[in-house]
Amino acid sequence: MASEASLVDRSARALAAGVRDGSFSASEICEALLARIDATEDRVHAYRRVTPERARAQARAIDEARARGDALGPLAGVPIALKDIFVTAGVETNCGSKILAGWTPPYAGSHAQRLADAGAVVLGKLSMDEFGMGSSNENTPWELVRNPWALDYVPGGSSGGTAAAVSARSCVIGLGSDTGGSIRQPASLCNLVGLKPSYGRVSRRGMIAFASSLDQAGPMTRAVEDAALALQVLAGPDPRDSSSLDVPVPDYLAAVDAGARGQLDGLRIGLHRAALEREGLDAEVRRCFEAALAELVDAGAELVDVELPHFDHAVACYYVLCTAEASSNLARYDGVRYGVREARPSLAETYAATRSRGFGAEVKRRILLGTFVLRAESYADYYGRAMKIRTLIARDYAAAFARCDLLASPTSPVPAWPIGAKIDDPLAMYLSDVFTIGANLAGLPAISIPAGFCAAAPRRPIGLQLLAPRLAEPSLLRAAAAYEARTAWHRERPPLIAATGEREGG
Amino acid sequence: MALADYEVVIGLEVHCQLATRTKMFSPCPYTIGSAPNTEIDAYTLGLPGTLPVPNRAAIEAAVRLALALGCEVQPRSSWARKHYFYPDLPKGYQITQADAPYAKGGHVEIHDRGAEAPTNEGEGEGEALASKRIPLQRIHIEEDAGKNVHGGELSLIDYNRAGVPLVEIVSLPALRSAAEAADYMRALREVVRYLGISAANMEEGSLRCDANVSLRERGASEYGIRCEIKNLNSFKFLEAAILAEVRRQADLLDRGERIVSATLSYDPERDRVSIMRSKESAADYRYLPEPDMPPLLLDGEWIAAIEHTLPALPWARRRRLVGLGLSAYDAGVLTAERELADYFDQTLAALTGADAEPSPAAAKTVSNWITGELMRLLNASEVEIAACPVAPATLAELLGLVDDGTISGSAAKKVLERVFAEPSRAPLEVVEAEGLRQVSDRAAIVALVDAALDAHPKQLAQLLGGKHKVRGFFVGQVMRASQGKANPQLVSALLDERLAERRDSTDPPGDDHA
Repeated sequence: MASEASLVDRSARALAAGVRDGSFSASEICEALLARIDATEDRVHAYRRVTPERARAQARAIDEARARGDALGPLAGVPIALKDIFVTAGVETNCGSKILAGWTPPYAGSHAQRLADAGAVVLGKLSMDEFGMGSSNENTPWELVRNPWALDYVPGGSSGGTAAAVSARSCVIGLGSDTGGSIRQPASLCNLVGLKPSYGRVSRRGMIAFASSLDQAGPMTRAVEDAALALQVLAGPDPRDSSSLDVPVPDYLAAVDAGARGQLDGLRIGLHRAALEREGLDAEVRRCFEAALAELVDAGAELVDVELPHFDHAVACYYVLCTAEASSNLARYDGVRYGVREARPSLAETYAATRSRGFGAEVKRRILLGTFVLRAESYADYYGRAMKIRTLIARDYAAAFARCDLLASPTSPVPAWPIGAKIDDPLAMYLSDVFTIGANLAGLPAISIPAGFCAAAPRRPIGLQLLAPRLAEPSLLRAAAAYEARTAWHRERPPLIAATGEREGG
Repeated sequence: MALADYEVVIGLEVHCQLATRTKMFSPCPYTIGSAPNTEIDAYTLGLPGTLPVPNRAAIEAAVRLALALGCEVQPRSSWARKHYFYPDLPKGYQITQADAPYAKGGHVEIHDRGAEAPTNEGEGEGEALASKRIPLQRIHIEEDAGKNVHGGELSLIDYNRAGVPLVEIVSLPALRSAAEAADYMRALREVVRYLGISAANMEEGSLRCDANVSLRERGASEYGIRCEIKNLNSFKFLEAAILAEVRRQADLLDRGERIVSATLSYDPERDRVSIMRSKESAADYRYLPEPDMPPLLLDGEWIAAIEHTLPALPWARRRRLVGLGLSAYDAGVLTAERELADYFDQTLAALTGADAEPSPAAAKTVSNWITGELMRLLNASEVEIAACPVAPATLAELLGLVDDGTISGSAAKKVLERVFAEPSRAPLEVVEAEGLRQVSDRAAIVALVDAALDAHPKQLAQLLGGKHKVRGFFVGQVMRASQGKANPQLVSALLDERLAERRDSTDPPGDDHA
């Protein structure tokens, strides 16, 4: 029987294999993770809601299935947790907002369903910036999530709870969502692998919409192979999402295994050097990025300079489009059918009171911006132009990928910052998305992988981002796995855990 | 200026629900008249995380309509969100088509009330069929909203209707009177019902209409300022509301005042329109290209296959019936509903044989029987033609019995009543069972004629004296004596024969004592 400490550190792939061959039971794993949650949650606050009884029942069902000799799914017994943006039938879902307080979905979202069907054990729902709007997880009416690497620092956002939970080993796979970097940036700030798939690769049904044309669900893990394993389960067409792509799902684990030999001979990695000269790129991030490039070259990759001529417009374009879509998607929260209602004598007053009290400041700011850009008299100047720029940006990437296989950049221009440091400066917060939003605007797959730590105290993680052409997740995973095989950053453990004296297992 | 000096300009926006099994963007079932909030699902309620997926059957129905109205069906169109806050709108926006509708152009063919307008002459014999084409701007597909029910302190919401597929048919401002607007609605309803894509019932709300009305001086080339009357839910109110709005605008113009563009509602009790809001304060719907769905791509082959299945449409059928020698009026009656037109065609084909060209006489006979006796029976028992207990082949069989002299027309009416009430019985069986076979035996009829003449010497004398009205009395007597079975033509002929004989054998009329 494996010790609790070693169980919480193992990869999902190893845990599922162990459950299948009987090395340990799903229930044992589940108990180990629940104990870990108990040990860390009071400091990390990654979870919005833990569902131990449901988790134990799912784990028991896996163990019973194995005892009966039933075939087990690829995630059999793997403890996971979902960002609270994902709809879970029968489990309250708030999407980080007071306006959905008390809302228990009556239907199953595709993500929770697919993961459960694959044998995953769902431990609970994870904290997030309200409706996915934020880069620090500070846009929340509830407890602030702490970065396990430095508890007074932000975990990133908007999938900050997911990043903190996976990093603190209080779940093995976390499901995040990424509209402008919300998977990759917190992964970068918490030393994780964060994968945003191509737009349409994973269903959006059951993921509460922030900006529908940009949103995409994806895994956050401690190992590239676990991201591949999760994507294997999540990817594929969904008849209930007409934007999901009806194209075959390749073997992602095979791509990881191909990369695990650490060789990338002939791979052309594109660099948009102008972006690296921008103001605001942290020197430590630059140092780590240069070192990562050297490692990739060592592995056999070739560096190619590319131009992304419209890169500088991406942030403005993104904030016009995402606020426009958000103002539309959030119109349904009116207090009439579900969630919180602030009843007043008239309909207009009820709407106003419900939305004024239900939404936080950042959400209101984006609804107002989005409402403004969609007005008949400003549509052409804002939304119309942003759509044109979006097309140009997508063309820039297509042109770049004619010359290279992948693009590399830092994930976040800075490592984690102290809680509260940027909360009053939304523009500075928006600029931290500069490297990540391109993939969303162009619908491309992108991954962030651990690539070092800043020298300044407290020691905080720094991520490397790779982008690939549409649906080229296999080449992304292969390169990420090769880099991972050649480095040890992903094996490092946050001080929160190291302090307990546990040792790495599996 | 007199009202007659203004030209009335009307454009209609008609919403028509599509009678699909499930809703426009979700597999939620829908039927009219079910208990409130029983036909809802997660999407219908706009629950977080739900997504729209277009209903192929609804799109097919919409394409059928566009093809029937001669629109250009667009190979690529797109969805848009139209935003406004109202409790019956679950998502805070309605999914519709804005800049890129699936159908452009086309027309609705209506009865032509005016002389100046271009007409399509009916072909062949019979009266001319006067029609004109009202051009369309576009048709687009959208989803319906729920329904608010206001009562006392509370407003209740029924979401059954939310998400039901709609097409919105937008005409150009080519209608010139309230009556013509109503004709247009009727013509459109006919087409929709012929296609079987909607119940198109204004009272139930499956067909709804907004009217844009403006006036201009006759001969003017510019349109006047228009006002839009919302939610006209019957043909009667449509006409009355337009007339009321024409009066209001004419009064304003006569007083030298300006028309202010506005959205209006019609109050049937006061027969007046009132201003809901002026266009200056109109809502900005903040249209947004729908990010949840890719553009709607319609395959050319699919469109062609749909076109192939279109039924013959009202005006085409009307022209064919007039070509068969029917009057424009009868052709109009028989084609008002597809089921009735089908019934006529099937009866006529059964009567004349599938391959033979029907004769005008046969067409006239079938038309008379359907528009006369059969409609009377249907109306009396409140049965729709689609549920008519007498099959077309049965009616044809019955008319064949009249044609070959087996039964008289009056006996045929009895037989029709009988088979209408008891559909399992065949006409000939009823004829035999009830002894309705026509008597065409000369000797037997002569005997009856003689008996009648002998029994009524006074009337006979009158008749012979030149009082021809009395002739009918004797026909009646003979028919009564035969219990209606005598062949009336034979009775008539033999009566004349016997009268001639008696005239020869009696005194000249001068001796009459009258």
